[in-house]
Parts: sequence; C-alpha cells; structure tokens
Amino acid sequence: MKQKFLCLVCILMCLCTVSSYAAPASISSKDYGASGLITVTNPGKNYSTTYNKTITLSGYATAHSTVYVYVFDGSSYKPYYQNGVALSVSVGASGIFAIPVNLSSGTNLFLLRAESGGSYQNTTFEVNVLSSAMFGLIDRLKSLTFGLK
Amino acid sequence: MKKEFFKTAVLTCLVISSLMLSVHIWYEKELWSLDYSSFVYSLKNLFEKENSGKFSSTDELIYWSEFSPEFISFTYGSQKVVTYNSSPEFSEAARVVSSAVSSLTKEGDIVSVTEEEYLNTYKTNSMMLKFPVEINLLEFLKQEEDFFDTIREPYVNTVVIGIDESQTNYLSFLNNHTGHAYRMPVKTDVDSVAISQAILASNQNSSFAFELNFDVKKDDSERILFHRFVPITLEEQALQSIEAKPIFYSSNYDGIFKALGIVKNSARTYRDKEGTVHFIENRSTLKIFEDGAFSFEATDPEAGVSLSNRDEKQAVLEFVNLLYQNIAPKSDAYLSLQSIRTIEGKKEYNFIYQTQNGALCLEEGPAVQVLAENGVILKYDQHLLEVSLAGNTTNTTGVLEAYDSLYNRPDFSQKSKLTIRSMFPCHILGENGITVGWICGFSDQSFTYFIP
Repeated sequence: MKQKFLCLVCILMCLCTVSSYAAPASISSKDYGASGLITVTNPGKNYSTTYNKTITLSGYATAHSTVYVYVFDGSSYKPYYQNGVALSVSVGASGIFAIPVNLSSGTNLFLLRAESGGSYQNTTFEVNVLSSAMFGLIDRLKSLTFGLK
Repeated sequence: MKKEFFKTAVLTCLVISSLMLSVHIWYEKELWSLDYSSFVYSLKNLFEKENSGKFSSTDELIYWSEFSPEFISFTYGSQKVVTYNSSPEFSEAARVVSSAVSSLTKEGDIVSVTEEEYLNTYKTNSMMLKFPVEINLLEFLKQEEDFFDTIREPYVNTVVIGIDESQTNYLSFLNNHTGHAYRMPVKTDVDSVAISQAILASNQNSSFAFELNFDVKKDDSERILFHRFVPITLEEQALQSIEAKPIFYSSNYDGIFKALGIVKNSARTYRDKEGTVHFIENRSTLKIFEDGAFSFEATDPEAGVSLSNRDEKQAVLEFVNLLYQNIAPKSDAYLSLQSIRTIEGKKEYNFIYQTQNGALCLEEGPAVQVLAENGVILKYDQHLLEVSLAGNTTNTTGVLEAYDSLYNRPDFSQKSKLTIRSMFPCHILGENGITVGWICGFSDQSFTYFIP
C-alpha cells in the first residue's frame, strides 16, 4: 500500500513538472496565437541586417508574463539555447524586456513567444549577419567611386 | 562738577568700549590679515589652503566638478561597455578620456551631419561621454574658440570620440541650442591597451535606449520611456564601496562663517528645541543643524554672497568646492554639479558628493544646493560629510530590474507621464546608512532616489 502511494506521488510530481513547462518544444511558423501580449522594438523591422555577432532583442510584453526565444531550424522554431540553457525572461511590472542573443553568420530566423495567464502570442523576425569583409569591400568600392570622380 | 565729571567718564567709557568692540569684530573676522577688500569678493582671500591634493590645482578641481561624466561608454567591435561614475573602473576610464582630450588635435574641417549619421557614430569604435548637465564642449576640450570654426558655442550633453587606430577618427556632437549635429576629423593618443584590458575585459554588453527603440513612443497614447542615451545595462553593476561620516559644528565651521559673511560674535544667536543654532543678522540667517547640515539664506541680495562679475556657474563651482575643501580637507570627495534649474529668474545649482570611483547621493536631497541670482548667492544648503572610499565593492541590479522596481513605487504614478532622461547606480545615504541604489532623472529636471 505504502509503495503504491509513493508511486502515485512520484507520478503526480512528474506530471506537475511537465505541466509547468508551458512553452512548447516546437512551434510552427503559422502559429501566431493571440494578440496584444508582445511588441518587439528591436529589431525594429521584420527584416534587418547587421555586422555584429550579437543582438539585444527587446520590447514590451504583458506585465509578469514570460518571453521565450525560439530559432528556426529549417522545419520549425525550436527553443534557442545559449550556454546550454533555453533562453527566456520573466517580464517585470513595467513590461519591458531585453534579451541579448548571439547571432550566426547569414540568416537568423527568430520567434519570440510571450505567455501570460494561459494565453500566448508568437512573433517572428529575420536578422541577417553580413560579414565584416563585405563591409570592407563596400568601403573600398566607395573610395574607388570617389577616386574616379 | 562731580556730576559732570562722572557723566564725561561714563561717555568716554562707552565710546572706548564701542571702539574696542568694532576692533574685536574686525579682528575676529580675520579678513584684515588676508588683504581683504570689501569691494572685490575673492575666495583666495578667504581660504589660504586652496587645494588639499586630490587634484593638481584648483582649476583642475573646478574642471572635474563641472565635467564629471555620468558615465563613459566604450564601443569596440560589437561590444559596448558602460562605465558608470560609481564603477571601480571609472578612474581608469577617466584616465583614458583625460589622455585623449589632452592630446586631441584637429585633422580637418568640421562638417554638418544628419541625426542618423550622428547616432551611427555611437556604433563605431569610439568612446562616448554623457554629462549630467549641458556643457560648453570647447571648455571641456580645453580648446580655443575657433577650434570648431564658426561654431563658437557648442553646448552639448554628450560627445563621441573615435578610438579606431586603423582609420580616421572623428569627434561628433549634437549642439543642444541649434539641434544640428557635427563631425570633425581628429587625432588623439588613446591607450587602446588600457581600454581593452581594464574596461572591455568586464564582459559587459550594453545598449543605449535608442538602439532598442525605447526612445520612441509605442503608439500615440504612450509616452517616450527613456531619453535616447540612457544605457540599458542588463548585467549586475559593481560599485566601489563608500563610507561617510557627518561633520558636526565645531571650530572647523569658521570657514563657513567667513565665506557666508556671518560675524559669529555680533550676530544674534540662539539654539532652538531641536538643537539647531541660529545666527541671525539684519538681512541674512545661518542655521547649523545638529546632524551636520547648515543652511544660509539672505532676504536681500545685498546681504548675499557676491561672486564677482565672472561667469556665475564657474564662480558657484569654485565657491562650493573651495568651501568644502576648507571644512573637510581629508575627504576623498569633491562636489560635482548634477543639475541646474531656473526658478523665477534665479538659478538653482544642485551638487552630489563625487569621488574618483563613486558618487554619494543623499536620500533627503542634494549634497549642496545653491540658489543664485546675478552672481549673488541668496541661499546655500549643505549636508556636511567626510567621504572616504572603501576597498570592497557592492553589487546592484541592471537598468531594467531597477526600472521595474521604480515602476512599482507608489510615488512613480506622479512621474509616469515624464521621460526618463538619466538613470544610473549610486550610493545613497538614508536613515539606514549607505546603501546601493539608483538615481532616476526625469524630463522636468526632478530626481528620484530608490533602492531596488
């Protein structure tokens, strides 16, 4: 009897742990959820370019919500891991959040998911990292153009 | 006959005693020995000891009192490090700035740039200084008035100086008075090794509010949250610890009496129930409180402290700092100008205690508050503290956590329509001693001190 009771407690504990991880392991690019939970301020556009290897994702979300970072892996959005940890932040009373993330060379497709009181909103954007060699090439082309004048 | 003689003797005694009293007052003020002239006010006449050794000269002290930045930010590659004036690294960062300023030379003509181009300079390899008050850039750079060609009065809150050794460096600024942005090629000797070792090694990566678009309205109904140059630091901030003890009323207050023109022996004096000592003259009053604070107020400009015909701000900076040095020569602090407000035609100057590695703010108000009009100090309040730097550091939160904490405070609702123009960590002296907290400056020039 005692063993059965312990088993039941263990099962209940496992279920509780699973249910507390509300963010899904994979999100479809067509799943937008509700609206009004999150506004992304940086990047300011759905499509942006940078020469930097890092970016700070920022914006406003519902107070005391949680914002999760996802990245597109070719088929769907998966949790973004940094230093072995799935990246997320608890939003405070003001609703402001900022999350620094590392960027890969080329195209980075991100999804930010805000969860609050059982509802959620997903928002996606693309950040393209240009190589600094390209930057140098543009500079050289500019100087060449001025030289021709 | 006897009666007449007695009368004459009494009158003679009265005349002699009045003369003796006058001489005593004249002697007691000790101004005669310092070549004091009643017509020209000079601090050099009042304070023989001008400099206690924290700075190489009085001019240097006044320079840092006016130009002590709120923070220095370094951008190198994709990393941006903000060094607040209370960080242990601040003195190192200030040294880098000093050497850059002293070696700065003009390498070409100044050109007008767009606001976007100006903001982009913050993203290049550069250092940026943000000042709590508007400054004259020429005075900060110690340059002649034709340095920026036709721009003779470049008043700024921020300045950017390029630090990239591989290409042309620019000095960029936005003139507050005209709203125009400028860029000029310059050459400086920047210790890039010191920057990379001492500052960039902190592994911090911050952004300015404009980089995260927190300086624009979310929609028409919203307010602008932060001024564009408020750093959004996410990491915990380490602050060099500070100790402070009040300086109570004793003989070392003599400098205050001299500077404020109160004659201790002739002023009507009484002590009230709270223990405050009042020195009352015809048109001015000096109150010395039990906790080490004092307050001077003149009801007539003629009874105020005349600061000569020089620039009023410079004269106030000199007066405040030399008086403090005279009273607390062992203190590690000087007084740094934090804000200037105009109230009914008068200027109110507010100061905080500043050391080379940290600022100390007082929960109940500024360290020194001066009200002046046309070069005359009408009101002067100071909380006298001897400040010393301790060897250890204390941590506080990043900006966003601090802002969340501010947002929850009941008194924030009164400020919720305003823009936050500055936000930085600081030591705060309150009822429970010194704690590490934050200062938030609003667009109406008011400040809030809080502990997250």
